[in-house]
Amino acid sequence: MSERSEPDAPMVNVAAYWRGDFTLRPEGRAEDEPDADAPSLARLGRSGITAHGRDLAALLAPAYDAFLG
Amino acid sequence: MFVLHALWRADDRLALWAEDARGYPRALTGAAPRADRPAPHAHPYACPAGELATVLGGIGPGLGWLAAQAPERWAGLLLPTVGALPAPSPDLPVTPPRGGAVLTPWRVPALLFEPGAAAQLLGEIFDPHWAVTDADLPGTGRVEVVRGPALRWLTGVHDLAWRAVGHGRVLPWVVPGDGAAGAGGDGPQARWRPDLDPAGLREAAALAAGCPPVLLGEWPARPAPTGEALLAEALGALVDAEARAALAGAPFPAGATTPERWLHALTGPVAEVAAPPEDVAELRDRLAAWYAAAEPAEPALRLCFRLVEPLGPDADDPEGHPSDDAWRLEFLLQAVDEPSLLVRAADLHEGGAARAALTRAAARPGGQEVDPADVLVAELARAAHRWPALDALRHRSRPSALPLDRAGALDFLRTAAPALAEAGFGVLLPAWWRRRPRLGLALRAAAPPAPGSLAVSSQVDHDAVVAFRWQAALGPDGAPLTERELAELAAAKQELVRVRGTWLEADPAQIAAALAFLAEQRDGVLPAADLLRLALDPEATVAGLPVTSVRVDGPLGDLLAGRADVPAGPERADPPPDFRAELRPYQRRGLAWLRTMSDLGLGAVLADDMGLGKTVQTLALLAAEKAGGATGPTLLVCPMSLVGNWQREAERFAPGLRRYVHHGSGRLGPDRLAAAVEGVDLVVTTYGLVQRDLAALRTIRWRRIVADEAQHVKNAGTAQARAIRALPVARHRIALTGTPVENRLSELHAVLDFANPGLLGPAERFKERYAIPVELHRNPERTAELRRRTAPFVLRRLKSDPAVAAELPAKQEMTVWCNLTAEQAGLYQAVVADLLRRVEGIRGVERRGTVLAAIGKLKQVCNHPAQLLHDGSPLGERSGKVARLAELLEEALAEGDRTLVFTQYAEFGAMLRPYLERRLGEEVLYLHGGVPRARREELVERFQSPDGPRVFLLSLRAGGTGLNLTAANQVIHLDRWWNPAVEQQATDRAFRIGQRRDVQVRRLVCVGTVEERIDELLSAKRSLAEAVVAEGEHRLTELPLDELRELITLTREDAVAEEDA
Repeated sequence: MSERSEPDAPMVNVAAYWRGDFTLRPEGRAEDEPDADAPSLARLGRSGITAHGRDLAALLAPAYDAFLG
Repeated sequence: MFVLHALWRADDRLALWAEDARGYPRALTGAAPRADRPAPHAHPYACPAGELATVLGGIGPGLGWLAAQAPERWAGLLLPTVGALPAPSPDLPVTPPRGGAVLTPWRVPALLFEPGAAAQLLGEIFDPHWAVTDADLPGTGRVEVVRGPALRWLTGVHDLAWRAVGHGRVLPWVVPGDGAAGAGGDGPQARWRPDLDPAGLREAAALAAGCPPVLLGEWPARPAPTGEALLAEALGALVDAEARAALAGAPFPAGATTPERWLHALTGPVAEVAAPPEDVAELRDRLAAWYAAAEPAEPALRLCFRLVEPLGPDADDPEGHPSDDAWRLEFLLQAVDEPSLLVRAADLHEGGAARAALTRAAARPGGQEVDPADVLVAELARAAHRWPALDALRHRSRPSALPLDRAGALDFLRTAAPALAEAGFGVLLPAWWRRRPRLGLALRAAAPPAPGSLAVSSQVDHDAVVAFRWQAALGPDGAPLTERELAELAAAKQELVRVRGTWLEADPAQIAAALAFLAEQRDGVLPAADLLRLALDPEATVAGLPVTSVRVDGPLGDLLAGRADVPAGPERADPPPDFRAELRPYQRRGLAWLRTMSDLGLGAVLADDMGLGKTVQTLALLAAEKAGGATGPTLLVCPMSLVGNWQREAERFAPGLRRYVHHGSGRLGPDRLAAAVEGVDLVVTTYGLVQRDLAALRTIRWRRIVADEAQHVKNAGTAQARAIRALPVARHRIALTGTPVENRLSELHAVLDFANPGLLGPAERFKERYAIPVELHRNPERTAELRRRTAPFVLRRLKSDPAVAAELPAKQEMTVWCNLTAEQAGLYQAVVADLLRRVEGIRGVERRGTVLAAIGKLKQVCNHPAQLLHDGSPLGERSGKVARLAELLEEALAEGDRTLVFTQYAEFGAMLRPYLERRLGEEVLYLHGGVPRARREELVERFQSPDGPRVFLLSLRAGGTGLNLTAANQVIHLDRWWNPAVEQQATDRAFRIGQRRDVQVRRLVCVGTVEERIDELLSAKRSLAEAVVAEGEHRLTELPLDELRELITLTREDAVAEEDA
């Protein structure tokens, strides 16, 4: 049924098209944990953006606590 | 057996589908898709969506529940196709068909998952070790289920997102609404975005680089699909989903302000921020600034950006022209402590010495080793907060440069570069951008040749017009553009274009304005004065376009180029035959320049050093114009102390000029003054009287107004300055000043504004544009611009200029004429009357004694009333001679000169010293006969030392001989010692071996007094003079009464200054 494919369409490597080239990171790779950088909020100072009468940095702090569990 | 596949769609939803191994044989033998049906056709052995949900439920109840919530939809994607069938994926245990495969779009039945559900599903499915699991299907039993690479890849992306949230490596953000946003509406969306640490960034880059191509095969095709872009989309959506899940139990409360609404939307079920777009944009800018400001503490390496222009031939261009769209933004890392260590990211990735050097530079004592590649990636991520175009690189492994088209390059130049620089990144821009050549108009002008003549006239005059031609041009140094180039520019429809190899930020509106202007007004004629205004205003615009350059031929061009002091033809530099002074060459050039300025009707500032002959050049101008038939009076305004000098100099050098002095108690009012100056060439008055007699002086239309010692008009706000500017003038104004005004820019503006009102704009603007940048910051560009604008109107020669010095005698001697104040005149006349009354009845010794004493008193009066009265009264403004002395000293000090001042009266010297110190603000040395020898040597030594006092007052007897005072280059004789040899000896204290500079010698003489009479006698070398020289003042005591009367009587009314009259 060659009418369904473009006559001059490039050939494709079927296996490569499906597979890609990646490795999944094993769970709980402990050796990475000590190197993990501080939460993003910890690098930031005051924002100068106020909501509910407080600076955004202070308001966001509980959210980051929640992220870190 | 099933193979699960996934697609992350452009609508941020996960499409899950599966191949069913059982269906493949049926597909091989079944009917082929009908060609009359539009593509894409249904995948022949894809698992139906309902069955897929069953398979998922068979793997586990959680997946089953998620699948049950997911809608069933068709998803389109490109699949390798052999013949009429999609090729089975490698994980499907079937024999693949023979033959080459091409990509063809197919439809697959899929379950669709919103990001929240997708995050749960991917987390549930994630297994880094095994790709195969099994499912317990009702009625079938256990079947193998393979997680295909696309699905596994997405589970890896989710795992990264999940860990990013778990480590708090996320930042809240707001994306503008574009109608295609994700869940929660079409407006601006509150989103959590990843802020990965270096390890996370490396992992993301590896995933992006290894993305299975099938994931990029969504159909209809998304624009320019790349692994980086897909990773960014999926990671962003999954991070947002996981962060919201983590915060589900503690949402931010709702609020009224935009930040409060945004915060609420970050945790609430609706991500849309209900706020005005401009408020949302402002919030986004403030967030970006906040995040970008979070520099690493004490960074050792700095990320720099270098914009590289398209270079070399374009491979796609058949003629090998360079592409105008092949810009590149290169990334570099720079060692903060060693800025010369600047390494391109491309070199960094290659390793070797460059990487090692940066690693060393990044190491901190006692700290961990820092990988420069990590810094590069992390800083790129930080920079992306400032310039979102960098987001495209966020997950690229080994990023080294960002290709840009012209629009991208311009966006970087205009907006990103300043923002990145502000955030602390290094930004290296092309040199042309810093100078920013802009489209403007260049004016070319020339005086039109007279009909029948071949050459342009060597003169231009007041009423001259010049022929001009406008052309479009790029920047001040750019050659004018041809019509074709301008037309091409207009056709380019780009804002960053290359013209003659130079890049230009083009404004289509400006190009259109230039075309319209040139079509209407390309050529014409305009008055010379208008041309000058255009040429000298750095902010001049025409038709809304800047005037980039004005090029003028001929004398006007010389003037504009600041070539005022160039040799002129004899017809311009020659004073008339009746002018009784030989002009030195530089004075001839000055005369020619003054005549040109007069012809053009332009104000002139003649600012030669003191003693170079500003007076004689001005008088030569008047004499030359009179000889040429010019009529109308020139009003010369000067300080009171200079009236006599102008009178005498005019008499001496230009006797052909008819003069009138407007001063004194009997001066004429408005009703008669005009008639009195009818036919007069030079009217001399003072600043004080211009203000006082403005009504009378305004009745006359002056040919020219000359302000001598023009620093008197430096404060434009004073009544005096306003008055002189209010006088009507037909031709032009001249300012004479020896003060180096170029060092005091406010004064320069005031003096130039007197000469050419309005030409340099208001004082405040002038101050803003020049005074602060030039005086405070020594800005070379503004200094050059100031020089260019003022040079045509200012002629200043220094006596130290080699060309001028060569034309001067080593010793210049001149007489300075001074007026008496009214007080001086009254005392003078009283002494004369007393003498004439007493001398009639006495003879012999008594007569000689009386006459001698009276002459002495007259000389004291000429010096200062206080010297005669011996009353210790303050000097104040009571003596014309002392006033002139102070002015001369001020001028000399301003020029860096050192001055000896001789008087024959020690008492007068003692009175003068404290007065001069107060007036000049400097220490004045004083040497008289009573100074002990040791002190005398100390005074001489101090004066001779480079940092010593600059004015040395000496009594003629104590200082007239024997001293070596070669530090002085100015000598002033305050009062006459009738014997020139005595003066000569004193002068020679400065003018002697060891003197390296030219010396100027001035003798101060009071007009209309015995001082002037003796000076005339000495100049005429008459017998009486010889007698006086031989015998001193004693000879005068023998004169008969009528001769004595002639000698001492105050003969002229103009000897007295008017201020006190």
